[in-house]
Amino acid sequence: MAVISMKKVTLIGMQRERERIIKSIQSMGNLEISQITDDKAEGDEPEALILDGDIDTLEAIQSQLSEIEFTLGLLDQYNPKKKGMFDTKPKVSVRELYKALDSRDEILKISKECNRLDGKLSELALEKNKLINTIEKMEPWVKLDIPLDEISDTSTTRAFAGTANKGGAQKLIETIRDIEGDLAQIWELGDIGEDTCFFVIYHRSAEKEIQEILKEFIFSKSSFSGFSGTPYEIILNARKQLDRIDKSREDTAQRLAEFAGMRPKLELLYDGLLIEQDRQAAILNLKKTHHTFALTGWIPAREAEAFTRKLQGEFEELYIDLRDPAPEEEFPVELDNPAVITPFEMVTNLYSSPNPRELDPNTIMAPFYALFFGFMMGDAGYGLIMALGTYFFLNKMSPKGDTKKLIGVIFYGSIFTFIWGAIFGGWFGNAGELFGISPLWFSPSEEPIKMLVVCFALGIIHVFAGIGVKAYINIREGRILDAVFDQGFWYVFYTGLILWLAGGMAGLGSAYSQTGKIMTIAGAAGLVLTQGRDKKNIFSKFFSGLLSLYDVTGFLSDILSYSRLFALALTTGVIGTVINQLGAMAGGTWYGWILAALILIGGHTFNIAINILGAFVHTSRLQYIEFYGKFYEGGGKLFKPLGLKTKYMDISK
Amino acid sequence: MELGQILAISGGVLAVILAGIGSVLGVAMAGQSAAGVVAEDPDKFGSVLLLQALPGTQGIYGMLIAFILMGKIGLLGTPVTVTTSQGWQLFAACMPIAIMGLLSAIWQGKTALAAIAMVAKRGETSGKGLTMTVMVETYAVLALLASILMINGIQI
Repeated sequence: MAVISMKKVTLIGMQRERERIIKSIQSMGNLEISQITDDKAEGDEPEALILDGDIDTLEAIQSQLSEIEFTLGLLDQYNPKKKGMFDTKPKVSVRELYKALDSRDEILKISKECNRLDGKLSELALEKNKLINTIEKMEPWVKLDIPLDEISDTSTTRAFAGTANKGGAQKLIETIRDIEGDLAQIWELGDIGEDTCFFVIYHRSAEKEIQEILKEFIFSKSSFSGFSGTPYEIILNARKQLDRIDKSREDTAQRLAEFAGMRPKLELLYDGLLIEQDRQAAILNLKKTHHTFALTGWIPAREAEAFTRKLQGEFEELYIDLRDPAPEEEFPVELDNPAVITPFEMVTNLYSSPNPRELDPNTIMAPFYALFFGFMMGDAGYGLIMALGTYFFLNKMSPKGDTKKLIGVIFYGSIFTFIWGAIFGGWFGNAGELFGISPLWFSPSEEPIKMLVVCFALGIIHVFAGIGVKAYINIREGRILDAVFDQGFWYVFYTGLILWLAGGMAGLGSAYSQTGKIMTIAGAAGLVLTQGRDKKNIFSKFFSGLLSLYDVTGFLSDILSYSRLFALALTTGVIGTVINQLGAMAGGTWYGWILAALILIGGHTFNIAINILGAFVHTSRLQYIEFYGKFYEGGGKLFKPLGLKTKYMDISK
Repeated sequence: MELGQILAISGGVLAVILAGIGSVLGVAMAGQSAAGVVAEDPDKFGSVLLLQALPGTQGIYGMLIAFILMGKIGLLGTPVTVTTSQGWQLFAACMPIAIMGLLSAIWQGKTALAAIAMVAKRGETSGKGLTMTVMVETYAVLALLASILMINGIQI
């Protein structure tokens, strides 16, 4: 239940053994390589240490990684892998991963071929678009039976095609045909949107007259440069080419899909490269001379001995130094908690990881988290379903990392969901009530004020616990007076205030409110006298002491904030009840009952999902603001050792 | 139907519609920027989806109040006579969640949008973004609670 203590490792080895040493460190997976910050050597030594590793190697690996990733994406697109519900990742040994790296050129060739085929597919798609455009362009002109490249003027005539507004089309034709002496001819061909296509031919002697008419009708010439043959032939030809392209596309896609069999090899290489990438990135932190290299890093103290022994056993020319962190030195944070607490680390890490010098808050936070989460869900039936679901998921799917932790949090939350549900009589909304299961304590919807008091009481316990942790930290660090003044007096003050107010309201008798009053006044007096103790001047001491009493508003708003416990619990219950009512409305006939079953299953699943979201975020907020606000600093950096991290495979030990 | 009943139903209707509009706007706002983030980095889908979903709860709170109200005035079973005065009381009791739901969902959507932009730049800050966004929701929760307690307390 604590932040693990770390040792700083300084390692000096031979350049020629560098790869092997780092590989060995990587397979142990417990050293986080850090940048060498202690640069004393640079000035003193004649042969200054220079940065090791080179960025080009790393970049080459990164580009290979993205190439493979792209290919895998392509394969998924053209030949999707059938995924089962309970697929687990294939297991491989480290040796196989390294072997995959040896055949990297061969596999990268496959990747290149796939990417080339994809390039061809896009080219074909482009060509197809062009042809479709051509066909669309030619269609209105299909009645024109003159090859487009042969439309030209002669010494006595002029000929061209063009368009004019559909509305004036008839008039235009008539006007041109009316020209004396049959000097011009016009054919109407087809329509493009609002325009009509024409072909015009006329004798040059009518040039002026024709031009005026065309201007009047806003006739615009069309040009067909680049086309040869009649529009009909062009369309026919384009259609033929389209068929060819479609076939070619099919072939290419087929060939690409056939590469799907190479997926495992690609994935294996990907993971191998991923490991190499991590190693190369780590090497960038090293420094080197001609023959040696230096490395610094952090290792959990309890593993340091074994680490040193293993490396010294494997390599002869090696120097390793271990030391404790200096008093103000920051080191990466690794938490060590029992299995019950571990999932809740995720909640804290979402906010901020503990810094290396502070108390790990997870142990004290976890029970409150599960308690409040369960309160907000507050339905015994849902609790059972969630517990079964998450238990099944954890065991069958063996999730890792944060997913595992999140599911773990929901699992522990579901136990309290069941308990609170039974206490307040929530079983799938009001289903329990309908079947005569009465709440173990009371029904919140009948006694809402009582429920609200319960929420505030839980809130007071939570906030008091937060203040208590701060007091503990102060005492642990030897600031006993701070604990008495800053936390002790507040305890007295708040407790007194609660007794005074609650005693009066609940009519517990004057003894309570009398005690409360005395405690409040005593606490307040203590606070006024001590809270300004940093100030020099007697007046500012007094005034900052007096002002500190204003913090009581913060306390009140903290406690009121716990009313969300009630609101969210009620949300679950009421939505569940509504779903039951809808189900009951649908029922009656046989198909009605089927519909009812669908409504009940779908509705309750939805209710569970939406309320898990609500309970998760609101419980987190209560921890972050109301609880951690009292004592927690955070700001630590999580321990990220150089290890064998993979994406598609699991490494077998 | 009595005027009282009409007033009470109007209150419930407003709770559903106003809080619903707020949620629609909030979720849509956050969703548009979430889509942009996912386009760049599909791995962030989980955390931005969570942020996008947050302004959606106000709509549910509105519906919740409507159902509690329906239970109160017997729309789901045998109808109860509601006097005009009681109708006004129930109408007023619906207003906290109707108005606060509308406003808080829109502003929560804006906060979620900013938080999503933050997650886009720095993926590890999703927890902090979540907390900031939930801060806005507090007031919708308080309004919900006020509405529930009032409806519960009105004698019919």
